[in-house]
Amino acid sequence: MLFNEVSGATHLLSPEALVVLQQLGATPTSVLTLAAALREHFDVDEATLSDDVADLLEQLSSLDLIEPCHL
Amino acid sequence: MSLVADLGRAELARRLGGPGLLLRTGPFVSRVQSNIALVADGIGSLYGDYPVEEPGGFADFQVRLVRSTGLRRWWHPQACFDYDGREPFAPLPLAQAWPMFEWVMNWCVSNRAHRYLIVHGAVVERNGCAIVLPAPPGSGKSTLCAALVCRGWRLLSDELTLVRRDDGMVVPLARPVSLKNASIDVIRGFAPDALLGKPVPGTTKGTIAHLKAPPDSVARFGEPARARHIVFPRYQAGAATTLTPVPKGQLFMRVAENAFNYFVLGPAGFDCLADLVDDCDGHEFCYSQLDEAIALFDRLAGVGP
Repeated sequence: MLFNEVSGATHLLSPEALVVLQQLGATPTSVLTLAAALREHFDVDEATLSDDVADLLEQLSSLDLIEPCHL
Repeated sequence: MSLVADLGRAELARRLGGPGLLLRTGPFVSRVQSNIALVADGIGSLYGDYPVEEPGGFADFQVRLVRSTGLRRWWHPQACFDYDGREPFAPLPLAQAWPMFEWVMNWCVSNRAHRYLIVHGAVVERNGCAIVLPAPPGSGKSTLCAALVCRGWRLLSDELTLVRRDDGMVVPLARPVSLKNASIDVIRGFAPDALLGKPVPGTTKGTIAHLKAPPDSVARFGEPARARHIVFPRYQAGAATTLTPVPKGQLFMRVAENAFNYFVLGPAGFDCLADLVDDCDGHEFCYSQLDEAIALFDRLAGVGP
């Protein structure tokens, strides 16, 4: 569960989203590093991993939980 | 501390029609003023075991439920609710004054008592184990709640589960159980000795009758309980009695959806609900037989075989 203190919204996170947010909580992180973190925690499908990460980041961004930035 | 029953009918009517009856229900005191006989009758018959404070004392809520004036005094008379000089509800036909009183009492708590997380649901307790029953209308929640309290469970509330924010304990608010339509005869058949108020037909919820809260539940208004289970009941004619686990994440979201003030409380509500969900197992519960349902609840509370 995640409570967004800025928006007041509550989110029920998937395990994958939780790993990504934990990674991003420390510092801005590249998509490649996030994919590596997911690979470390889950049995990922390499063929779709890149698209899956992009979809997940898009969803989290649409909920105002993350935003894109330059590293 | 005197009880409503100690006042006698004349003094009850005098206070209601004058300075107000300071009625204690759970942690709250309401100053009730009313010139409607149905309200006095309802309080006299269903609230006899409740403590009353001395006139002039402090009240959390100011409740005035009075007859309409002007032409409406004679032509289709109405009951009007006044809260601190405002009228948050549209008037209702005078014949519905009693259910309106109960709705008003619920409204005061659900709109004002934000020192609690308030979940729309019944809560009952046995053997130190409180079980919360959040559910939408029509799920059979009140019928199940009424059956449980008629079989020895303590009523903490039929409608408003009050979770204390500092320690997560559920605070009792035992008031009459609202039964609707077919449930009235179901409980009459299930517990012939149960005391029900006079049925009121034609409300927006159909026919309503209130089951008197057990005196022991009322007397123990100062004893909070720890919730151990959150059960989402669903009555289904002919269905087998089944209990299905609800994962914690879904449990959190479903209870939040049923909370009156989760969004009002912000992060404090999140923390309080997280603690409640940590303390409890969640279940979907389908039933058609009240005796089987009670036996299952007894097992959840560690009572019986």
